[in-house]
Amino acid sequence: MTDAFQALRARFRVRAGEELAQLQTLTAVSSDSVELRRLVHNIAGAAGTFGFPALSQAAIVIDDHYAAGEQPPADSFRTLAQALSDAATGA
Amino acid sequence: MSQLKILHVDDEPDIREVAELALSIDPDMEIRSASSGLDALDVLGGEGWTPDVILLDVMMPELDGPGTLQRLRALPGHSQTPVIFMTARAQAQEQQRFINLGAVAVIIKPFDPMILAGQVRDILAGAGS
Repeated sequence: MTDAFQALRARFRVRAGEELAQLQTLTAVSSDSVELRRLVHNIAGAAGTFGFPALSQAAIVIDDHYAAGEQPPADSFRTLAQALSDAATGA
Repeated sequence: MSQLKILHVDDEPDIREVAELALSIDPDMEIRSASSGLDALDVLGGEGWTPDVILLDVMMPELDGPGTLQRLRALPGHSQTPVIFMTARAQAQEQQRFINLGAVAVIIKPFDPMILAGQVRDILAGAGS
């Protein structure tokens, strides 16, 4: 389990880098789109499973705003971007 | 411990893989995965393999978890198959909505892979009591 999980965790780090690029691309256009909501929701649901609870939490904050019909604050996207960067680089 | 056949449905390949890994901790669990609601309906509508429980992601493209649940209930032999929703939406109101739709429980994502198998066993033990 441990070796296999570590391999999945390493793969998730690569994915975090890709998702950071996606996040930057999508938020440059709009802070609310179907693609952005899906990206945020997927990060919220997955990151903690791979050992990145802070990343999940950053995404959950935004996901909760969307679920409540609210516009997420700009700061929350910056926090998510930083958490993705940390996960990708192992910071 | 009794053999338990599980169908796990999630559109994210990484999540399917880690869930398979997590559930394989229990040697008496037999796991199959489906990559979408439609894929799950194909598995359930086919011959020869019937799960004891279905772990169903809520937010999936094309056919989401609630839509999948509605359609699988119409399949022969699956009107009572226990379904556990898996979702990142942790609000109590949302969870209650999923229970009202007919799920036996909701597992909040992100899930802990070290305890997922035990969670499923505990939920089913509670549902059967």
